[in-house]
Amino acid sequence: MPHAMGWRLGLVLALLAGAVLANAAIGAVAISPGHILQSLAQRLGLLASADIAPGQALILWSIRLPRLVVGILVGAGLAVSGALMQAVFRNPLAEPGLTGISAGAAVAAAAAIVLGGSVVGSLSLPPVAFAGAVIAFAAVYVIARSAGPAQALTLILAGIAVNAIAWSLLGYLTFISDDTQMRNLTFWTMGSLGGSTWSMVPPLLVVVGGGIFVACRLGGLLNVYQLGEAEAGHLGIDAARLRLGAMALAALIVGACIAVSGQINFLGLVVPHLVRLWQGPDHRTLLPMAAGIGALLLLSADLVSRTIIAPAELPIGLVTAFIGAPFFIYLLVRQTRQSGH
Amino acid sequence: MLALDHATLARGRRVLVEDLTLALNPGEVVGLLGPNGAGKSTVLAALSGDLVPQAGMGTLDGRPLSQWARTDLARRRAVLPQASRMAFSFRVREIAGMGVLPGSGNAPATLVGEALSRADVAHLADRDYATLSGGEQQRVQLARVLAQLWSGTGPRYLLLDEPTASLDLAHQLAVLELARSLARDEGFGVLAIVHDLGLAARVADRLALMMNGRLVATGTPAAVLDSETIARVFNVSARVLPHPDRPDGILIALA
Repeated sequence: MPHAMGWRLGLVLALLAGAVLANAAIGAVAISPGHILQSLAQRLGLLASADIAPGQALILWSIRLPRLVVGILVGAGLAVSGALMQAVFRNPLAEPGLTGISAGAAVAAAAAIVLGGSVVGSLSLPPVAFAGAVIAFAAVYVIARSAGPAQALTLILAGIAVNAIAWSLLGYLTFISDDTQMRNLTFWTMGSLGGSTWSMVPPLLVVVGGGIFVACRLGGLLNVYQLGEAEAGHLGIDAARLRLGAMALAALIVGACIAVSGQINFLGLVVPHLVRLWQGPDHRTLLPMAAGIGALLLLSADLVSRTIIAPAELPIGLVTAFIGAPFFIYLLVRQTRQSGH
Repeated sequence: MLALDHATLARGRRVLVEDLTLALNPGEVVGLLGPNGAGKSTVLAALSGDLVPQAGMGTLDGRPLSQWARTDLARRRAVLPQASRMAFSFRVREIAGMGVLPGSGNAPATLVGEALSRADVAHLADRDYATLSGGEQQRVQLARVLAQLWSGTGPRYLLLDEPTASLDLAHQLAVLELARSLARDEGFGVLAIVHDLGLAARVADRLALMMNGRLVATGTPAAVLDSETIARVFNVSARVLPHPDRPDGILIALA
């Protein structure tokens, strides 16, 4: 990892630590940072006993901390897969949803909820949503390939088609759903970290954590890929394989994220931009930094979503979209101006 | 030797080049000439290994290009594309650095610095590539390609697809003189697609003249370029005169 990112990574990690503490402390029941640290130290075996009320400890360990850990992984995962997609498409406006992953996950989850009681309904939702994401991505890739060598444009067009089919299915499922099912459905379309449990953490660590680790090792290759597919090929890189690999990686990561949190918009699009503005486009530093900033922003958004209309909770996808969409428009205008001169 | 041997080249079902044999030797500069649509870029794509001939073959050191591992080929030949757009704001230095092959053992920073100054873009090293003019971008790509060749091994080949396209007169000459000195001093085989006959005659050891997907003539500039051939291939009437200052040089005067 190039050392140029040293102090920036340090700053992001410090801010992340602050966000973790704030998320753990703030809520319907306030828990002081001192108590949180004591409780953590006690669990790690550093302290014999912790000065924290049993009720507070329960809230901390069974509600806030799993939500925090899931939030970090999902935020990091979404941002890294956004960076991967933008690198693969050589386009700063690309995002994981292009390949039908998000829509696929939402449809699969909706089918499980609405057609509940059938085979799908008996499984728990996250694996079903994950499978939906992977199937949608595979469909996009197969369609694009059958149309010729899988070029960026055919991939995008196939993605649009698969997205359209998925959203119409989702609309149909919403249409035939009853009130309770509809409520559950909104979770998938607007996103929430409210359902986080410790049991989600190991699979997330494997797919998202592992995926991010692999993605960060592709940084140098993705840099050269920016020269163009033919140019990367002349420099000894198997561009087609790199593209498929990076896209599949993004699909797996996003699929796993959506499976536990529902759709969270704009994070994957916006975070890589922030990082580029801050430290440049080198993917060797962009990918790890995107992970850190993605986690930081999602934790911040979650804090807003939990507290702004307390005791009720705002879907986190609304918060990220409300902040992300105007930024997206700004980027769109800026890019159009730059390429227009 | 990098060569095409009785190669028939097609894109999709369209045959663009038929039965073409052309060799590029270490240490020589070959100018590939011909009107638009003659098949010059197709030949370059076949020599680079991007396009596999339908019949005949492309070879490097006698071995078919399709049998070379991508990474081994990268150490032996580099390709300068016509124009390259970057989606993100990489710096000139970073782009040249992308040419340095992994595991080449050279200090990348030194290599990149040398490549930038040879391509006359050292003063732009910290600029954003996207903000440069077309000609400057072309020279940055040239620096990138130099970095690749210098981090390779063995006899090396450089394929230039219209390297002078967006350059001013001074830089056109400078780039082709650079190609010349790479061939003479470092033994690289250089093939360049050039449109300006005079410029090609000035720097190339040999010219290969194409028309309608076929090789019409190949040889020294003086042997290949005469008024009849120029009229037949380019549909332009011109006279070829001895160069007043350069022995063996020729001058092409448009009528």
